[in-house]
Amino acid sequence: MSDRQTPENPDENPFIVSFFEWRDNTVDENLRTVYRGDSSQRVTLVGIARDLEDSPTYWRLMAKLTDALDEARKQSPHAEGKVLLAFAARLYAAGSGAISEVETM
Amino acid sequence: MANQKSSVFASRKRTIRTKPATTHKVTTPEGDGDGPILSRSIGRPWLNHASSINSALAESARREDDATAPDDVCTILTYLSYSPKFRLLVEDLRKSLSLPSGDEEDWCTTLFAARVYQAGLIAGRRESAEVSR
Repeated sequence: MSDRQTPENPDENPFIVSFFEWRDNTVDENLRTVYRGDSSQRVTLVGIARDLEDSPTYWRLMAKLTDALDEARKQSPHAEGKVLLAFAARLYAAGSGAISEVETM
Repeated sequence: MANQKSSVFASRKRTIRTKPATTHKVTTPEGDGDGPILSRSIGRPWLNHASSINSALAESARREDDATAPDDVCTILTYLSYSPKFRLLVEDLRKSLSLPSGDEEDWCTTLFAARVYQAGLIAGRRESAEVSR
């Protein structure tokens, strides 16, 4: 992780990406796999979505997201972007942490 | 107020549920523009990981609340903020939420969450593979 490029101030604008700032980022690589997923991956995606809907913890996260978005909307679009980023980071972290459990099922 | 109109979730209603209310099809835009149908009625041919997902989310939330526990969410957040693909996923979500099927906003958001979660699963598999080498 130490040799990866990290933004000096990611809070300035969470969605502005400069080609020259963009280097090695496995997070983006993994998102690319999901973004350009084949049909079987889409089926998997729907399966995950339905499992998320069965998760009480997910709905608590959604409730927090909705409340945070309500607050962020009073501030700026950037604030809203940061809220969505925090939500996504939590989901990504949970996914990467769940792998050992999934693999043993 | 102008900011509210331009925001991703400007039309989002407070419709937090504990269970999905409907099972009809939902169209979500994809990066390649094909606009495939992603429907709840597709079934669950994939393994049902509901309990695993819930426990993983709970563990992630516990780490968020526990200042002494290692939490890589801030690092992930940083990388997401600089990810072009994450930006595209957000734009897809924006398009999904602008579709007429307003009662499916939660499902659109959940599909977005599922994509990010799935990317995390891929990351976990890669890390596991590297560790096992």
